[in-house]
Amino acid sequence: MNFSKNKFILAMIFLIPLLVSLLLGYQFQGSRIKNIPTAIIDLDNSSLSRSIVSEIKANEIFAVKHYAGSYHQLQRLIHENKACVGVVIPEDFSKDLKEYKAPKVLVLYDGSQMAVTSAAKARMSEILLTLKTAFVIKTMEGKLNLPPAKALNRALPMSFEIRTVNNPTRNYGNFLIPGMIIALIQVGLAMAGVGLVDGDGNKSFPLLIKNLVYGFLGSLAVFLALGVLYLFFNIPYTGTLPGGILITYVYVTAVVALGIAVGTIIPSRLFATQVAAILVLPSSILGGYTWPLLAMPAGYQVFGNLLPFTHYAEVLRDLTLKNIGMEYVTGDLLWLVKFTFVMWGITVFVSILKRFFKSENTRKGGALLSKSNT
Amino acid sequence: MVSYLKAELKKFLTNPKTLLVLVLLPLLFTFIMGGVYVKTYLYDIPLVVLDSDNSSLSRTIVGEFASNPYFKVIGYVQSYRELEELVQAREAYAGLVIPEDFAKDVKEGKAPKSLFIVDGTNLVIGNNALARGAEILNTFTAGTQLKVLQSQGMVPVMAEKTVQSFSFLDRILYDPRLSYIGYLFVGILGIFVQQTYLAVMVPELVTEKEELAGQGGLTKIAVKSFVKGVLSFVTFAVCLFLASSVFNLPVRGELGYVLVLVAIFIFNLTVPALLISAFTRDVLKGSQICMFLSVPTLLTAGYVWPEYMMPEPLIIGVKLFWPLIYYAGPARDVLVKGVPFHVIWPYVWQGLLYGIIWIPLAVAIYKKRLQVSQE
Repeated sequence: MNFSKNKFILAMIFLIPLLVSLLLGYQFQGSRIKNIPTAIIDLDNSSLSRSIVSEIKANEIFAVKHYAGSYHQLQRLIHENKACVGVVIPEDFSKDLKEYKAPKVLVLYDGSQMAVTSAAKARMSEILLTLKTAFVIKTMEGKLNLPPAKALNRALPMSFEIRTVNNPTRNYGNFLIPGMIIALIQVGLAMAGVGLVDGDGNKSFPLLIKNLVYGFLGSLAVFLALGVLYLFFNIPYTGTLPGGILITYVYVTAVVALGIAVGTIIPSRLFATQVAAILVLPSSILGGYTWPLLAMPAGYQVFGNLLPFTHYAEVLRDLTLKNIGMEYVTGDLLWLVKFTFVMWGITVFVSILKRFFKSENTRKGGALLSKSNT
Repeated sequence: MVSYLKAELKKFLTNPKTLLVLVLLPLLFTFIMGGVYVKTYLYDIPLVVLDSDNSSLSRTIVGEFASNPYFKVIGYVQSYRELEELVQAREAYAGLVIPEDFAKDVKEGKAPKSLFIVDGTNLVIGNNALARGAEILNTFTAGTQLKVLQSQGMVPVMAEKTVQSFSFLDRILYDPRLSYIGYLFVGILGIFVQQTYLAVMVPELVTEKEELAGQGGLTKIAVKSFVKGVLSFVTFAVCLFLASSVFNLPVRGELGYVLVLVAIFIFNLTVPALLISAFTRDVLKGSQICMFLSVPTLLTAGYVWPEYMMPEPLIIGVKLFWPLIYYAGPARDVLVKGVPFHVIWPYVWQGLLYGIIWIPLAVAIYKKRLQVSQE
């Protein structure tokens, strides 16, 4: 069964993703963006400005660590990576507000920290809305002599609840980790596929059986790595379990089949291994797992959809976060089956070609030999 | 040493594969990555609409989304269930739900609530949808507040000032477009350099172990690392130049600092190269280990996930064993933020320290392992 030959890579396929799961689970724990180092300058120092400051401080996303004395100081804190967000409440803020001069609070974000800035901006706009609504309510109570309840309704004639579904805490671990584990494991699977092929060519049927067995083994490795995340690090699993198991099996088989195809085409074991790995390695970027396919140029979208990773990783992520059934999985499942058949088609075709040329050479060699003997 | 150097250089001519891997692959990947992130903004987020009110007010709100380039209305549904199905199937990533009698309730001061749904499975899409959606809705709400105040008898100018009250002025420093390429590129380029360098060094260190662990081995190892290192370094510089001139990579700081950081990084890569080769007898296995390392090393380098959010013991562990952390974050800080040298100085001296302590150790381990395996 070639297990001894591939013992090393099989061990790697089980061990390394497991270790990486533990590592990533540990690193991403509490992986909502929070405690962003924030610096505040309050040049107004009124009760209103202090209430703005305390509103920001009360929010767990911001860890107000610095109170700068000047704008220049604030900029330096951000520049030197000591703060990611800076808030400047200008002088006379309270006074200008009462006189309806529409004063502005300046909020600075560190644009080199994309994840942090996105989270911070979202939260700041919520805080702003809360503060402004409170102000409008007070004005209405005052200017229009409205009782508080009515003032609230007038101040907020309509409201919009913004609800994040499927990953409501916007947890970065849930978003990233499953795909990263798969990106890692598929490299091993492709290389294992190469390892199944004998340089001289194999008989196809035993090779197919080995592919299917490796599909089973690889799936176990995936379940192990993901199981660790589920058991110890609160990565959920919400969707259909049979669907998840099935598509995992087909995906793993597909990637091993890819490795087999590459191994059949390229005679050098080392080179074939490297090519197989390189073919699957950029999948996490080209497959639109983070920056999505819909944001890429058309050609990239077409190419991205040709990668097996694209038809599995997002489905897996969906299965962990969405309460979906089998019908959501079948489309990609079928694609992966087709992909496997295509890989097999290539393998068989190239094998036949190789055997044909080999027998041609043997025949010619034999003919030459007999010619020279006569 | 000079003759060995000449021999090494000649090898490139007889076996161009090394050149191809060290030089061509990173260049190729630079082009590919540049294309992936060429669109700086995420437009046309698929949005599904459930308008149970169908009044001119609700249609105005829907219109705001439909005409906004960041969203693309992909369907109008009649029930929440249908909306949910589209989101679950990844056909839509956002949903707008306007309840029945919405316009009527607004007029009667009943402050009705509508729902804007954002799918959180892909946070890149989710964060964008949330930010853009909130902007549209807040603007719309402010406009309505204005009308309500005026209808209550407030003078328009007064009403406007009340609604405006005060605002937050956002300024995103350094990379105002929050471009992905600025965020990711220099780190991923580092990974390309790391993988290609290891891919050519490790096989040689494994196959030539006997020669390199013996007499004068240290010089030979040094020559090998130097030649490949210089090639990697030059390739890196070319890729960086390409990215900044063709693919809009922001460059605010001193490129020289980045080159210093990557030079130290390439120098330090000799350590994992030696350690991996020390413990593998088989070139194939060595290659396989190297391939496996790309994903985990990137994810633990304090680059994708900021260092301050990593648990302290993990930071220490990574700094002890893998040199990428001394390169990736600070290189981005230089490029995108233009930080002054003293900000990256800790990474520079710690990176050098890593090399100074580890290289002799790694060479010793490499030699010892050969002895052990020969016995």
